Amino acid sequence: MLRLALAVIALAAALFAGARRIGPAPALGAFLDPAHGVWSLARSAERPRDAVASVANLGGEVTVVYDDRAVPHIFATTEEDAYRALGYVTARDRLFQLSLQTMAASGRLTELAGARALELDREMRGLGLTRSAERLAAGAADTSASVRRMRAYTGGINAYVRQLPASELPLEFRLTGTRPVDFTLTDSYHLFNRMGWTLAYLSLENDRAAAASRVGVRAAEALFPDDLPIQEPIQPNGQRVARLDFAPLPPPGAPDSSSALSAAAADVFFPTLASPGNGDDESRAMASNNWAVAPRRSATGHALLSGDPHLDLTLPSIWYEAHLVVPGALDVYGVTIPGSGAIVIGFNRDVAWTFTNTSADVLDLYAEHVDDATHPTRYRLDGTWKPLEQRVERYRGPTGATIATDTLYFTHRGPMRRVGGRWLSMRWTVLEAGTEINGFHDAAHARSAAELEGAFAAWYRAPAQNMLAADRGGHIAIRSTGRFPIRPGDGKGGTVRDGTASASDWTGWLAVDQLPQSTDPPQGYLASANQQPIDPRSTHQWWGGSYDPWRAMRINTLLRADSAVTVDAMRRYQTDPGSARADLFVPYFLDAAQRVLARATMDTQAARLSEAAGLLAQWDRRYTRENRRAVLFEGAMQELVARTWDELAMPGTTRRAITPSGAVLAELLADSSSVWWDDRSTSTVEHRDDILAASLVASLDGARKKYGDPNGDGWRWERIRHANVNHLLRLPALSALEIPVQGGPGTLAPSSGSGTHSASWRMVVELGPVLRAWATYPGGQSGNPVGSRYRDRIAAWSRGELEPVHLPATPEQLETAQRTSTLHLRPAP
Amino acid sequence: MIFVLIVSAAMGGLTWLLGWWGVAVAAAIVGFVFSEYGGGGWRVALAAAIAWGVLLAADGLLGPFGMVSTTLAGVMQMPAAVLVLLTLVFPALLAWSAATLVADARRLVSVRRRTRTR
Repeated sequence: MLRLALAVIALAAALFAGARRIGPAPALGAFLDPAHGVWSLARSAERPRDAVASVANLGGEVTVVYDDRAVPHIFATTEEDAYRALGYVTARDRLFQLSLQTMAASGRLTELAGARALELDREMRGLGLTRSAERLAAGAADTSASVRRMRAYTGGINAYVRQLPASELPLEFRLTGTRPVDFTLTDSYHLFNRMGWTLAYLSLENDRAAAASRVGVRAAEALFPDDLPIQEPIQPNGQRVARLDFAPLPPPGAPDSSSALSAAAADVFFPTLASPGNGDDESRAMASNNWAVAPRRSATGHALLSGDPHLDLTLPSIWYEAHLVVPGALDVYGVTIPGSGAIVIGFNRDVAWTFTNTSADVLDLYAEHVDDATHPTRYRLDGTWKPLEQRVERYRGPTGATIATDTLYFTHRGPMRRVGGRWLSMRWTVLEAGTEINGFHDAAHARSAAELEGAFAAWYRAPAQNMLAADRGGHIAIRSTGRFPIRPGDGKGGTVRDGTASASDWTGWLAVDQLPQSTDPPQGYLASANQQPIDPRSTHQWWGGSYDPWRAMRINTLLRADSAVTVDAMRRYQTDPGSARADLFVPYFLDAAQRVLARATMDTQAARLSEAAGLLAQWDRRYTRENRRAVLFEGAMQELVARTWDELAMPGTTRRAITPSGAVLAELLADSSSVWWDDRSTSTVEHRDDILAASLVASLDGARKKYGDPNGDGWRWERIRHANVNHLLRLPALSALEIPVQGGPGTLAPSSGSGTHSASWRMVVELGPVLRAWATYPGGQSGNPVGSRYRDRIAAWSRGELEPVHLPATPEQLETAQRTSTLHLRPAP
Repeated sequence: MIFVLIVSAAMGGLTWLLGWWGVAVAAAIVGFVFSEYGGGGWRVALAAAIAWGVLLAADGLLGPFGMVSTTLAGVMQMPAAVLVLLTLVFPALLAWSAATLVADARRLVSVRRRTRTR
């Protein structure tokens, strides 16, 4: 009987552990099963040399040849088949990513992670992104070629999902105990909306209100100006060097209580944008670069284009590289975002294109008057009551049970939320987009930069991007592409508007010919790095754009100095270690140290200042991996920011409410006796040089304490700053962490903060008689962590290297040595 | 030994067809048939471990087993050897308990029937 009892207990335990998850541990039975479980991933880690699959609704056979970089070259007879095959191969390589991105974008992360993801989901749905995607999908008509291609693409994904062998179920599904579900057209729109949220969910209201709450409106406007004090615009203005529009900053004033509504609105509408306040502001260090060189300034006489978008680094990467060929109709190469169903950045045989973010202000808030403060049903507009649209959102947990319910309200402008006892609605271009996919599909057919611009002008709405193009005819062109609202009054969007009057509403969109743009400029090159697009001296229109100008200054300096740019130079610029920021600030530190030392008695403090200045003077102002002085400068900059902006500290703490940009700090440097330099924690009145010198000494002390001797390896830049490519689930074992890279804050390949944001795709295209291209990204084509293609590109990426891409026009043109695998997709009977 | 190998082959086949439940099903059948011998006892457990061990070895021969075990060890935060051991112990425990339970239950039922008949 004892044995029987023991057997009952053991069997119950084995069955329970085998069938049910225990805490974060997966159900052991299916997980450990060597025939179908996690161990069987070994069998599918690498693609078979030849494979055949049946796909429903395929018009004809499609051949997919994978090259030695694991890039699929898709050869189809119709475009719909090509996009259907793209969906299939994307799912084959990135199925979990597709699933997780969709859940995040549609506000359904709670179904995976439970209540701890509730706030993230609430933000997605509360902003109206889910509603917007559902409306777009409902209104999508199959009479549109792009909609048919998107449906074909989602059909390709689902064809793979439905025939997925148990042994190929990606590891992450096994770990989370989930299964892939059908991908829909709505999910594609969710992903586009998610990109809008990533790139255009910016709030100048947030920054100014936070500053005004500490130092008053006048000072806040100077600290967060419409126009940055350093001008190196995207649209060339004829200048040979960046222009410094420095002016004295008004002194800090009394805290402005009327900014409370804006500040509270920022907390409600922008919870994930809540400024970190202290530290180096990573949000301003991120973003992207692109530049193009006209034939007369390139060494080969052909136009050159560099694409260098910076985004969060993840494994697998946000990008998936692919080549689609339909003889006589389509031949496009580049990167797609899994789920998007289009080549987003890339080239065809005639023209190449890439983007940077405009960071334009395309989001406004309106104070609404409603009929009931707690459960409104109507809102007031022009003296009459208008019904509010209500929408109930249910958040489900992993078991399917509802864990929370929200009622959302919408005015004609967009979502309305309660802020500090008042109701604010929001209008945002991203919620009124949805035709971008047509632009990408048409761009794939463009034969020139002008045709490409036409495609995006016709279809592209949001998030607004600086679209750069170069073609084989030798033309280069850039345009801030997307919808820019025309606002009543001053045309600016930095305040909460009166929602009771329709006169507050946007009155339309700026016409394409009014947008910032340039084609074949006399200077022979074009460059954008998220800087202000037009010199404010030549426009009355406000375009937004609050990124620091350092990358724009650096790339313009490099391109101005090189009248015979090579492909290799284009590649080197992408990871150039030089810094316009360091070039501007270092002389101020050194001069300040010299002046302070000249008037100081030779005590311990002076000796440390002398040593720090000596060490900083040794720096070549380059953030190379082996450099031992960049750390001193970075420490000094952090100290300088903390000591200078102490007026912005929250009451009773040293934590700042908000930190002005580096460009504004540079502006302040020109005013040596500004009251902003005074450290309010001391009884004496400090001036600029005192603060600069004290910052330098503090940096030396801190670095020595933390990293040891200044000439030791502890000071090497590669020991201090790294790139960190996190897995989508942030599992360290599946991530690539602490990767040494060249670059620092403000360099073309910025490395700052957590190191999780950097160059997500690097591409150089030479538009000669036969187009050639080189590219890479930090990751690998496969989303399978146990496969050799999961992170195979990271080492070369970290060294700033690019790989030549293959561009076969037929499957046979890809040489045998360059082929790794072939997949034949056949119409399902 | 032949008994172990035959049962092991059956468990491997049923695992391939039915998944991990195949082990429990095969063990239950063995327990029923060999109830007079306690369901096979430790030999059923050994057969299950061998079955999954062979399948594991096949995975290793057909792909980068080292990479899989290293990755899994990192994700699960335990040594790879523990995971392999768990993969062998789990079916052994499942098989022994299922076979023993069925065998003992059958014998219990038989004894009661005989008692009632008398």
